[in-house]
Amino acid sequence: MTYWKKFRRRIQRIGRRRLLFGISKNALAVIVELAVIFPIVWIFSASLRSYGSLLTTTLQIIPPNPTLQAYSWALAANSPFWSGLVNSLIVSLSTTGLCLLVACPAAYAMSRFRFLGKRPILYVLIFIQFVPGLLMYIAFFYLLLSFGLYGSLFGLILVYVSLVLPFAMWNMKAFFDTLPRDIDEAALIDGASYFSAMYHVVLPLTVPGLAVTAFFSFLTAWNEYAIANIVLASQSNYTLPLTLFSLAQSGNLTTTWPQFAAMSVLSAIPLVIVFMIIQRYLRAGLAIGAVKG
Amino acid sequence: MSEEPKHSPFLKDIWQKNTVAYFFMLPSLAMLIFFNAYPIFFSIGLGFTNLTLFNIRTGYQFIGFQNYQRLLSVYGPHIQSVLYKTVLWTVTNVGLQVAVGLAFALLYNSKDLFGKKVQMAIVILPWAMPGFTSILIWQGMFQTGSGSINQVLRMIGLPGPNWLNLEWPAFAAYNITNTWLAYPFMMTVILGALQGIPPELYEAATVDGARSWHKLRHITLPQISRPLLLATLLTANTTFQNLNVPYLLNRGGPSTGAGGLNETVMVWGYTTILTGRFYGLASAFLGIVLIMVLVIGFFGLRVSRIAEEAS
Amino acid sequence: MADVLLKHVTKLFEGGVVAVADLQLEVKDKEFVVLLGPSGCGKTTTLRLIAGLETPTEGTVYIGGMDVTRLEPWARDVAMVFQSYALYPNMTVFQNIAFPLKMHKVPKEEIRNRVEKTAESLEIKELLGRKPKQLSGGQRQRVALARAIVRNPKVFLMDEPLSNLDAKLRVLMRIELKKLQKRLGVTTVYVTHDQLEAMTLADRVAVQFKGELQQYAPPTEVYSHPSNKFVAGFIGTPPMNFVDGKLEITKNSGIINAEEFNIRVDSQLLKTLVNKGAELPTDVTYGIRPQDCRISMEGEQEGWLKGEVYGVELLGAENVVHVEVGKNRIVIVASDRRLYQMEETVWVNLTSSNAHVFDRNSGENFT
Repeated sequence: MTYWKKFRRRIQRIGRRRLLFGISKNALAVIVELAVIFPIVWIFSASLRSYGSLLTTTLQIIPPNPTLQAYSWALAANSPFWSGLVNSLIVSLSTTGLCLLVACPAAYAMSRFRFLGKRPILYVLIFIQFVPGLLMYIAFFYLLLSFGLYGSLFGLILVYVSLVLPFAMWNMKAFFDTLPRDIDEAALIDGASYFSAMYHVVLPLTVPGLAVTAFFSFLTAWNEYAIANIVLASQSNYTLPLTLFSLAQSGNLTTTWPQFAAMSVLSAIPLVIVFMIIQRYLRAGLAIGAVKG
Repeated sequence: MSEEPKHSPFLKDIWQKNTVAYFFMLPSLAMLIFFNAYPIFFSIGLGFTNLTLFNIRTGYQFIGFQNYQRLLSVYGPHIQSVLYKTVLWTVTNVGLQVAVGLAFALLYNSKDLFGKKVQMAIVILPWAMPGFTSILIWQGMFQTGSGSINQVLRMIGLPGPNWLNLEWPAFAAYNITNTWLAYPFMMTVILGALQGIPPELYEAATVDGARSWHKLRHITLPQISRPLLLATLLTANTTFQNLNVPYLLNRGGPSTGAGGLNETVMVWGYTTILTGRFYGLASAFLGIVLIMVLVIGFFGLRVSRIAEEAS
Repeated sequence: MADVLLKHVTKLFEGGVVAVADLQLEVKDKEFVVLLGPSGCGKTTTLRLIAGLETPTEGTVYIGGMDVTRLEPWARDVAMVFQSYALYPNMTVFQNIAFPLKMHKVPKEEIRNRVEKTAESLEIKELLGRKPKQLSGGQRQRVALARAIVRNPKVFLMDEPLSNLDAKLRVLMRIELKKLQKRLGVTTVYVTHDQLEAMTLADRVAVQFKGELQQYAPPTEVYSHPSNKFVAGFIGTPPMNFVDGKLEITKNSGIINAEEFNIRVDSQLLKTLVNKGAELPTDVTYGIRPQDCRISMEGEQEGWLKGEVYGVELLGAENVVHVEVGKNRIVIVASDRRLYQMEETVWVNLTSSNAHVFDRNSGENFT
């Protein structure tokens, strides 16, 4: 059956009114998507401008004489982009990894076991997340200074982990809670230790939860600007947000705008890639986590 | 075949295990204590000192409640505006996020869309963009002359306001930017919840003669109320603590002598730390904020517990 | 020797709930014992106590003569089949069955041999590569069984393993299970609320109610000599008929005076009662199974009671007739093929040597 015939059949089945409805919904969706994409399109177009081209007062989606100048500058060997990228990757991946490593056993314990002090700990976990982060960072600044970790990426990683850990623990606990204890008990009877039961049996089932938690950890670390600004000192250590920001501040923005735009586009790519990979699990993970509260 | 058992005189019940549980929790508890609890208390303590960048090594002193006094007196009026703006910002923006998230979720939940996967990928894009990048992009877009927003406005004949240098346009700019950044979270949560609603409910309602509006009010909203409430709470917290948006857009608004007009609590704290370097003062301020947040959180929990027991 | 012994075992839960009260239970080596009772009677808790998933508040548990009360489950050498089968969803059937062996550090080669042999004996060898969610209920059940068998444990524990299967499969699996147990010769403790299952599977049945053991005996005995009213009413379909009345015994005869009518006590029954020697109560409950009641259309005979039909179940080979006699409703299984009608007047005879007399208050069986 030709595509057109299928289409006709479909319309007949749906009925005219619904079709109109459907078309308007699609139109609305398209408008929405255009609006949403606009900033991205705009920065992309800005990145294709040539240096020093005056920013005009009229909208120019396609810049005059589009060029890849800005990109070649940003991707040059000595460009701050690379160091920023590497630093951000190191920091974000380490934060995520360390966070999951520490949070999962704890979440398992909180989900399965009854133990002294469980309730207060749960409450503390919730409340910690409400503490204005800045409050801790004055102390952090001081602490890192005293331990000589000031300005180091490792220090930053530790700070970030403390930032995401409460959420990670709480989220993973919620995921463990959705799994009935049957299989844990079966594993225990089969001869597994508690740790084996968690590792072999329960953990593999929480992949959506792990995805969500990992994503949030990664996202938080990657996006974070304020603390990095306080902790990191030297340019070579800067993570991407700082690199970008210092670029935005440094030069006369009208002339360095294309470079800034190019670097912005580039800095978005890793995250978009990670996101596309994880997207599938995110929907499932968030639904389960949210519904179960 | 099997290993010999260990006799454990304290065995009470298979899941009632203090030692094992603590063993599992040890690394995380250690981190929480060392990197969360300790800094919090330390900072609260700092609120009673006159620590600044300059006397860090030389010696700073305990000055009791002086910081708090100064906050009330010298910074008093400005602090009032800061608190007011913070509350206004949080309420407005959370409302926008929920509205947009809900609207989008309903729109993208319908079956009449073509190429759904692609469309969804596009609409979720703001989330995939790194926040600081997006905010700086928006900052560029809000520029009076060369910003694209004003360019578009002028194209349709409307005057383009000076977004970032006037108080309320800047406030609007904050809201637009953050809504763009944050709505995918709400949308995803609501969408997930929507997909969990059994279709039979709608079918029964149709048979009973309900219209779309009724279905929305009596089926959809109640069914998603729990995850929606939870997500709202989470996002209220993050919005309240949001530093990037107000700070990166225009450092907290057109500045007056005392500080920016649109400064939120976080921005004021950050500026005091970063530029003023008055660590003691900032700690005192944030200590007050902490108390406020805890009190609100405590009551919030109470209310939600009562609401849950009632249902 | 894998016998199981529970001595004075009591289990209390939070809130003062008494799940198991002073239980004395011994299961002989290679015996198939069924824990039977309604929900909440403590049978699952008892099973979990044997498994080690719960610890007794008081009392001791012995397996194979060894005190295991304080032992963790993995050290007790028991295997358990859960009601939900509790198969590991992310592992293949092979890995599921192999898991206990893996946990006990059995060498890989041996694992493969034993898993394949076990799978073959349960006819699931073709399923070894699949995951649980691809299997039917019956197949999953057999995988759960395989996982329990592969370890050669001392004791099998089964928690209502057949309740999730459809009726036909359940009957088939019952027979299979019994055969399997006989072949393997492993001591088995099986929990169910279905008395038919208990009757067909058990070497001995332990009837539990509200945490207390009511009777512990082979099925035939539990059926024909229930120790109290509860057991009598729980075992047997349709359930036993109960009539409250006063026991009046004279020199040679006895009657149950149920106000509106009298039931003559069968002479053999009377002898048993009198020979009991113990003080016979006056307030009694007379129990007679539907199969032991007689029904007839010929009226006004000595010892027959008049009643009215208020319900009929025509089951083909036999008919179940519900008759209202006075204020009591008596259920009778009639083996004549007569089609009884609603509101017909019939005559029933409740005298039988298979009847029982229970103390109305304590429920004790005096026959």
